[in-house]
Amino acid sequence: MIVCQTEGLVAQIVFKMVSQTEDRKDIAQDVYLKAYQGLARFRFSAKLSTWIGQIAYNTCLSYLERKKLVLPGDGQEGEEPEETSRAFSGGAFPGVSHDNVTESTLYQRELSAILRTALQELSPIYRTLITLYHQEELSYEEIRQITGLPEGTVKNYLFRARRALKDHLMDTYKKEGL
Amino acid sequence: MRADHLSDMELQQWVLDPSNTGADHRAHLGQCEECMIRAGEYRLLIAQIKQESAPVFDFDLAGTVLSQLPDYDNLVEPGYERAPLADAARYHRPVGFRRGTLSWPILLVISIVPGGLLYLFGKEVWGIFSGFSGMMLWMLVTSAALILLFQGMEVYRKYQRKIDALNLY
Repeated sequence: MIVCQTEGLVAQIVFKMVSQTEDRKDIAQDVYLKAYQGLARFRFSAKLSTWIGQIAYNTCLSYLERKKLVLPGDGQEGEEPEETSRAFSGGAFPGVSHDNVTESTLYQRELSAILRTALQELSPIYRTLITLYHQEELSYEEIRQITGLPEGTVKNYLFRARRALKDHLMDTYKKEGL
Repeated sequence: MRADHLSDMELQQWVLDPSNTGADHRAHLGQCEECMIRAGEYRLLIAQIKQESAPVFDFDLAGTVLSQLPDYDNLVEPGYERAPLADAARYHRPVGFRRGTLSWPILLVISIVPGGLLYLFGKEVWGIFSGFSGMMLWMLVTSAALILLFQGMEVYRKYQRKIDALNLY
């Protein structure tokens, strides 16, 4: 029952942090076996789902570190989004008018495909934070408990991730002329 | 009103929580078409993220996990149904420590020891209280009852906190 009720959250974390499909199954099982072994250490200081989410996050993080995959702070999209954003808003693409970038011109399906691509290009942790906050609708405090990151860092990473996603959407819009 | 455009940070804050945006920012947004468009882009992005379908595992995770747990069947006593959330508490109990195995001896000791003492020294115990005035006895009983009440409330609060923590969503 616990597995059934927390499977969605664990899936979100595992899918966002681990790109290798074949490894996801082992990681998901590992999460619940760790939860089973560590249940006596659950101190009711957080919700059970948050605690299992924390195990899932840490298991994925260990996996990424073992595989030496990229994490935020490694100089990926998180470091210098300011420039791309300024470049866009400051008119670096003079042919693109903001008026064109509206819901009516970006069709839902195309937008969804672009967003999925943009999410894939984000680092695993940014991807996970975006999912936990916007899709799972967890609070900053719950995300802090799951990831172990300070609340300020969570907010900062979320801000950077949203800006990187928006920039990606706008760049794609320009290239594909949607 | 602010003359320069709002930063991305300020725009995101406004999109996520308009009520928490300063009056000068709101005034600027009311006048500045460019900032409104940029805010619209963020709003579109966030709405789109919310609409994305949630991923699901393409295998029976619960079944796979349960098949790997040691002594799964032995951990549930005969006559008990597998209660959803009680599973958790039951699984992490060490093998051999079943419900009721320790609670009966404890209850027996708790009832025998004071009962025996009361039987042996009942008259002396009563003698202690017989020296008290009615008011004193009343205050003693009331204090004890209040302490018990507050202890009970505290236990109930702790229990509720744990139940809330076990509520998965």
